[in-house]
Amino acid sequence: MSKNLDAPFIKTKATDYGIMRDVLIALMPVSLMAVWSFGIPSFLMLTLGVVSAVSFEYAYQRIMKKEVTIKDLSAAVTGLLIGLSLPSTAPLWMVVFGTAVAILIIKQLPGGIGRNTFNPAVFSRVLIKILFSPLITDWVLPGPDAVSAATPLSFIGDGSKTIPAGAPAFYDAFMGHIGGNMGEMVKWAILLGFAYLVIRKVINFWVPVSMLAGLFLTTLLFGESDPGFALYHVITGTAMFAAVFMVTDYTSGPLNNKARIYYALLIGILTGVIRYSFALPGGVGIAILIMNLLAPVLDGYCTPRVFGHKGRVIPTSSVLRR
Amino acid sequence: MNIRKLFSVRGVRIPDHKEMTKDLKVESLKAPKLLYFPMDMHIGKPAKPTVKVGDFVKIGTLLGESEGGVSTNIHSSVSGKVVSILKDESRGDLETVIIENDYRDDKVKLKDLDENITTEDFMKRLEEAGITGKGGAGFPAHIKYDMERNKSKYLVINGAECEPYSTADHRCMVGYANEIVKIIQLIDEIYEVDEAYIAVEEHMTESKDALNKALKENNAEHITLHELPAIYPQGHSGLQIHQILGLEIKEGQRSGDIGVLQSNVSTIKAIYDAVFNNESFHKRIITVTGPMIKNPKNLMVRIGTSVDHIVEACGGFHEGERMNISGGPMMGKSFDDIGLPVDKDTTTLLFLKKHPKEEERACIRCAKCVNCCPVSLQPILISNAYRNREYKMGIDLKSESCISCGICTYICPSRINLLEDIQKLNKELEGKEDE
Repeated sequence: MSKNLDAPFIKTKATDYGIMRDVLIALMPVSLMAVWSFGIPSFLMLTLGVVSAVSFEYAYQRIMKKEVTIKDLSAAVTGLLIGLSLPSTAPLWMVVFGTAVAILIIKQLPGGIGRNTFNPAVFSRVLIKILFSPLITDWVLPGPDAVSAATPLSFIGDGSKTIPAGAPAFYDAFMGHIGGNMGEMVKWAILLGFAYLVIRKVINFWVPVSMLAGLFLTTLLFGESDPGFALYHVITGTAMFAAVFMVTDYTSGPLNNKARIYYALLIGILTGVIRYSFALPGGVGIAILIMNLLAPVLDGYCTPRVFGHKGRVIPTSSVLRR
Repeated sequence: MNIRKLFSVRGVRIPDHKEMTKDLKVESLKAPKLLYFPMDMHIGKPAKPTVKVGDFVKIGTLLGESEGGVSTNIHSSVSGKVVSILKDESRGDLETVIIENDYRDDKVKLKDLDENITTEDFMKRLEEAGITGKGGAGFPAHIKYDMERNKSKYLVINGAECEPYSTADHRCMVGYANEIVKIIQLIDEIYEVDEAYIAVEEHMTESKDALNKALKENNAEHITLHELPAIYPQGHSGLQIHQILGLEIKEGQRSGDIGVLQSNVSTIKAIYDAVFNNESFHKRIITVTGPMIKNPKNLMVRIGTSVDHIVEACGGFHEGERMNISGGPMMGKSFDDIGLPVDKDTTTLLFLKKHPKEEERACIRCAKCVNCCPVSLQPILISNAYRNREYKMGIDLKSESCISCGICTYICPSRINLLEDIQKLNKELEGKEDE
């Protein structure tokens, strides 16, 4: 038979935009709970996050005469994540500022999807925190009255070893009756999104689990082996939200499954260390950014042995990270 | 199947579409008026024609003679007259013998073998009968069985047809379980094999049951039926040996070097015919399937039958743009001319709907290619190396260990043709070595 080498002739149904659509669907429970808790302003913020992120990507690609890729939905995901990572009281311009930094500087400047070193949403969130701290640390409890409250983490950060009196109870923290950013509060909604992403095979089950395990073990060490204290760290703050939606980001993390698990574990450990050593909640973000830089190193370290070969050569070129 | 093994299996589950033909009995296809025998049905040197125009031939008459080295004999699959010998200049003067069928089905048989078959007799028989291994390459079986003589400890019979759509081997096991077991017993004896295995896919219950029954009837308890999960590419020889025996074929080795003799079930069936029935290799079971064919079938066809004759017997095509594939959808080869004949390697004729090619999009680093590659390559990194012209990096990434299974291209959500990049890089690397 004449031989045309063009196999395989079939392709998986999964597509890049399908994966991003799944991430958006997984973000729906937390988004709906945010709107349910904080009402119209939060809805406006989330919508603005998506619209501005997509618009920035569209505008950048048109101006730079590049192919417009907003259909891959990755900009929408970034926009929604930025909205969800802000408290409902944050001013609207901050959302726009955040998406501009994420899309224009972090994502598009290095060459668009797949090329960025840092997680765009995390980078812009950390930058916002550094630049505008007082504006976004006035946490409010869910409900129409917007009662001021401290994030539970301010009770347990900065060297404390136990949960002090006055910190929100476990149940309240789990159900979202606490102060915090919009997306991170209702833990069961995060778990719903987590389950969906695992079932759809978008993320590896062990990656978020490793991140939380790293955090749990580190705080267990600092907290004089009090599992309650360690668990409190795991379910308060952004840790769970970040574990499911930020640590699992494809582009800014390593490729190899094994490397991804080390990466997540190290983020968890680093988060614990930062939370314990400094008075800042938000250690997760910094931990992720540090590990973003180290992702290619982990990939190199975890280079698999090819079937039939004795040793392995660790690639050390731009090929690892484009 | 223990849990640890289940986790160690790399590869993907692909919708297999075997339901189209897996329950259909093998039908014998009546040979057409004209049959075509290209002299390059195998890997290596083409055979040399031994007949002239006007010669009368029978089933089993030698048409082309092995040129020595890696080459093999080709026999007629019908009785009749040689009407023409074509020379195709575009394919290096490849000769094709054309025979007009007289429908008498006269046969010439090979000589009876001695009672006590030696390895020499056995190999000679494989050579005479022109048996080539399945699996696309069409490697002459007598050479394979020669290389592995005297040091074979294991015999692995590959019945794991991991390609989607294909059911020819499955039906071969259902229909000829007894024959398969008998010839395995004989090879066990001749080669003094320690352990014999038949690898089957765990969800193909009919062939499993047939083999189990045959094993019992022949008191062949020493032959193990090894069930493999329905994960592509469990049919790949090296991976299968690793899966069953825990032995890894190292770079540059053949299965024989680690004491493993391996054959496909359809090859084993042909060996049975050659040894017990004194028949040369002239017919085989193929699956004719796919969404574009009206009546998918499993057929016993004479080698040399043209594809259009087979299509006609299967009710013709559905309307629409079509892709013709010889072999499975993952590793098969496409062809345009349906006048081409079925040869010794043809396992499946697959007719798919032609879809417009999807444009490649940017890599999103989902790393599915990296985490699914059955031989632990990192396809996207190799692709990057090729596109950046970093050939040294391609060597470091062991790109030449690619088994061309196609999973990376199949699985990529951004539709990057990773396999093509890997193959192009390997071609460049080959060129470099020659210089």
